[in-house]
Amino acid sequence: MKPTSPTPHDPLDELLAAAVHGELTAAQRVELDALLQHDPAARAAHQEIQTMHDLLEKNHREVKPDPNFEDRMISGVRRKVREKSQRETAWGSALFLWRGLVAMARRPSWTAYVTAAAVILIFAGIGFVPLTKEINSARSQVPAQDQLQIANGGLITKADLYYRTGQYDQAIAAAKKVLTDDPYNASAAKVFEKSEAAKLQFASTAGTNANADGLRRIEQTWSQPTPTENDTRLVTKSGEQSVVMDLKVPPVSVTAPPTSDLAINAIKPCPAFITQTQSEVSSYAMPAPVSAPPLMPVAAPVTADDAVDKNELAVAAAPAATREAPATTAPINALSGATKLKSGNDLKRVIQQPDMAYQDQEKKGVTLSGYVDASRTYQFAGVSENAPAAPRGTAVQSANAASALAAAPQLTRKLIRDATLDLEVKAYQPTVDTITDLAKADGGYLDSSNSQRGGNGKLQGAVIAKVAPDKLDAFLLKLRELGTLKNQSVSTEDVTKDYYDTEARLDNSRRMETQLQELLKRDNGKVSELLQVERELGRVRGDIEQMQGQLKLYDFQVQYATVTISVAEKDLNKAAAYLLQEHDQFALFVHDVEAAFSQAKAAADTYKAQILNADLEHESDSTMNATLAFSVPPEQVDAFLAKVKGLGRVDNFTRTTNRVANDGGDSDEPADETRTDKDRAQVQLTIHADDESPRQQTQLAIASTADIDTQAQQLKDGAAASGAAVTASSFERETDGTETATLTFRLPLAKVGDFMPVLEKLGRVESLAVHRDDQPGQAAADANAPAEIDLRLHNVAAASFENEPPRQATQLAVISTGNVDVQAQQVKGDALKAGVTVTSSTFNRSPDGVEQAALTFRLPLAQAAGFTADLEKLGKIESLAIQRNDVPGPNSTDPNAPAEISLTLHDEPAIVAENRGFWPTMRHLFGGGVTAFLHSVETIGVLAAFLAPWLAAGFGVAFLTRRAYVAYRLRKTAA
Amino acid sequence: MTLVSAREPAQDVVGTSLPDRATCAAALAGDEAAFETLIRAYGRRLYAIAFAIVQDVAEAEDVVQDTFLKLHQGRTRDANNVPAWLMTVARNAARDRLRRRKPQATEETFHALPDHGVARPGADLQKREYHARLRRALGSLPEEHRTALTLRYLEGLDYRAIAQTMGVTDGALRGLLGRGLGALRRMPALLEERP
Repeated sequence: MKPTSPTPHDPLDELLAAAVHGELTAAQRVELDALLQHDPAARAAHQEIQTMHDLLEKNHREVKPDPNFEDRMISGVRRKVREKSQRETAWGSALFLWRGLVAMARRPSWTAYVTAAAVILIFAGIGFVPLTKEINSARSQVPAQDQLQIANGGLITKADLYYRTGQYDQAIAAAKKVLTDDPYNASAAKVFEKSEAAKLQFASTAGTNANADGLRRIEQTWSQPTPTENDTRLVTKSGEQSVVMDLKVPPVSVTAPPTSDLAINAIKPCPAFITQTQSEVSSYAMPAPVSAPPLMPVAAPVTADDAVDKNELAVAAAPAATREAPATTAPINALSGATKLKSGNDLKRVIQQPDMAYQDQEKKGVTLSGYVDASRTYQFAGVSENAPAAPRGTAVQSANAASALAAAPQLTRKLIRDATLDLEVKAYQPTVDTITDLAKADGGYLDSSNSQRGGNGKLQGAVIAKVAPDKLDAFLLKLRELGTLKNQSVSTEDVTKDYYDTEARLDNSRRMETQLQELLKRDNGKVSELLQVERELGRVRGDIEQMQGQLKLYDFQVQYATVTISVAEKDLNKAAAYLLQEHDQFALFVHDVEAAFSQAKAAADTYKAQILNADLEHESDSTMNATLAFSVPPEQVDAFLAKVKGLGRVDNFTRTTNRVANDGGDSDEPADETRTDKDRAQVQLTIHADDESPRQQTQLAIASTADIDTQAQQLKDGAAASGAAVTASSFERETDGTETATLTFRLPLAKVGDFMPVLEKLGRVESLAVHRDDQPGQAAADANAPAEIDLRLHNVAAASFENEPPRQATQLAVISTGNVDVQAQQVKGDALKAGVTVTSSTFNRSPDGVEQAALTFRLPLAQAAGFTADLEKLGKIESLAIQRNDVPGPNSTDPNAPAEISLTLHDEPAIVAENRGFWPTMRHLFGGGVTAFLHSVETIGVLAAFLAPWLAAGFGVAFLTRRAYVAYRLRKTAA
Repeated sequence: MTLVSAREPAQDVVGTSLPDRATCAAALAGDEAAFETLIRAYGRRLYAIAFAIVQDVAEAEDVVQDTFLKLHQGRTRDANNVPAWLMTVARNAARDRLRRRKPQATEETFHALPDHGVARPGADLQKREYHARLRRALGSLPEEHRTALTLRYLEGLDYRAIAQTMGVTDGALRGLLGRGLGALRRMPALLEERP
């Protein structure tokens, strides 16, 4: 079967088709009939069409839809609708949303507006929650300081409000709270100050008012007529003294001013000061008034006309209003409660404010006067709760009390005064002269003086001066000016009682003497009686004499005060010279005790040291110990010690230095100018065999270019100087000329550090191994612990230098300025001349004419720098790389270590930068474009990522809405 | 003499009365009854159109269902033009299916390959084989020709209904049918090898 298209258009086919389909028009029918009649081809065609028509009908009958087709379609569509709704896509949802929105926009209705408003509200709600959270979190992140400021701000405002409303206490409290948190808050401070000032002002006013009120009331009380006066007689007795006090007191009761704090503050205490005047009181006994405010007598002494001994007692009391007992005062209380008094002295004691009383020597008799603080202008008498008080200005008259006080006889008191002073002066004698003059001036004299000169020429001594007792204080003050007062004591001994007792006894004795004499005169007794009287008389006379002497002594002692002055010149105790005594002690550990013993003794001879003791002992275990003691001249000590210490390992070296004052004084206060001499030093040492295992073992191998034997000998000789002992040594020469010396040194650990460099100088250190045997408990850095160094010294075979890896490798590339080949040859020649080995050399000429020579040199490290500099002169340096293989240890700076230099010498090639020309430029240009494009893609990606969640959210919402809508429609359909 | 057989014109299964605009609008608005009416009115025609293209009963029915599904989904809102829209959508859907069908038989392979797919044992084996061949021959016709023929033979529609459905003039339809039948009769094997 061949394809028939394009189908040819045949009008006959059209006619025939219409014919078989029964759709011919009348004209067509006529036309067709005519055609069929005359044309056999048309008839055949008609036949074929008819057949085809039948075939088609038959064929289509098989695929014709059955009668249930419609029902099937309907149910199919419904099923698909259901399925479709369950396979809702985001795209479909978005489309639906869009359509819905478009429809809404086209037909705006109230539902549309409501829906839009609801959507906006929902979104706003959704957005508001995180926004609120954000704001809250931001607020919670406000720094603590700021929060404090906010809180304080509120408090300050509050405080200000309190201040304005007159609530000063609250204002002050609030401001204080702020100031506790923030002491530098200016606003709070301002409010605080304002409030305080206002409060004070208020308090002051209130206080004034309260005072005025109180005074008014007191005035009222006082101005009332005294109802009755209670006469109170107080009599107290104590021993011989008695105090009788007649007190006329009105039963006044004064109430205290209003017990307001403000009033109390305003009325300051105004204590009464009652002073006492009494004759014959030592002026030294009473301290001067210390803290008394300006005093003003408010009540003149009132003379009691009936006072027996013309003594007066006047009491004027200005009571103090105190916080605790505003209406009472201690003195008045005490006075009025006089029943408590035991004696006149007690009375005095009570009345006197101990620190405020003072003496008035001018007046005789006893006067008690009251004083009040002049700064206070009001006084009132307070009353105690159980005793009446004296009204203001009223003198309490003492009728008989004074008589008791004045009963004492008019006796002179006998006081012995002594003073002792320690003075430090510049010069002794002038001071003593001055003291003498001063004593004379004050009516005294110099009693005695003695002096002694110390080893350092300083003088010290004691001077006893006598002066009139009343001039003593002035004298002492004058003495102070003479020098530095180190010590002073003044004592007063009251011998009045003893004196008058003695005097009385003297009188008795005299009377007895007279009676005894009278007995003798009677002359009528027995001899024995006479003798007895005689004896008694003698005893009494002796007593009389003794008592007279005693009295004379008292008189003398009282007449003059004794001043003992110890005078010492400055720097008295400084020594004039010192002697340094050095004592050295140590232990020496040596290999051979006996040898060391004799060497030490020999050293003593050399250094003029005196051997005090030398003892060599053989112990039972065949070891030896030696003990030596030397007395070494001071100038030889250091040299001697160095020599002896060099004999072995020193242990426990102790040096004791004593400085002894050579010429008086003690050594505690050395003077700068003091001379110090050195005494002969005592050196004590014990020598022991050193069998301690070495604490540190060092193994050293050194390759030397010099003669090994000679070096070994030199080492052996020089070891002692370094404090090292050679304990073993050997030397070997093999047939191939290799020489090896082995030496073992034993030396103190501390000296290893000094000795090692000596060894390392011998040649190149090949190996170094240090083994340290620190033992627990021992001081790790015990400088004197033994150490051992095993040295292996051998000569260097020439080949080893060549085989050793280079310590420094230099790679140098030089662009030649001349002919490469010629220059390379020249360099080789120079190298040979300089003793540098050329280990390899190549020359290469590439087809493009570039010539390159590569040379490798091997040379000692010391020459490397110089030779490299020579090579650099060949042309322009293209590159220079130096690699250094430093080895740790003493060989790091070995100048003989091998170095290698690789030189590449070549022509300058024609270099054209790769990135020049048209194509590289274009590449660069497009590369930039591509980069920019990629950047833009990246940015779009970021943007998409930014928008994606929102798009997804939008689609999600649309999807849900759509599903709801479809479900709704389905329900409706089902219904 | 009249050679033309006086056949009864093909009876319209659904009846000549097609749904009016109101029914279409109701269907579009979601009226299920109206929608059903539409399915009943146009279902077979859409089937014919689809079958003309895909030449497969099941696929054609699927196309019909999909087409109505799209209508149900509200892909069109124009009530005046629902029939034409349905025909277009059905045609496009059928074409899509044909395109997606795999392996896609080209005209050449159609002619080159022997028929194996319908070989069944039995008396009517030859007949079935022939029908399949006839359908393939139909499939090789231009789509318009095929559609016109299918509407005619499958649905038995008269020329007016076909023209209306296809949206062509009567003259054009006559041309299409004439050319279609003419092409088929010119395929000698179809006539010679008929059972």
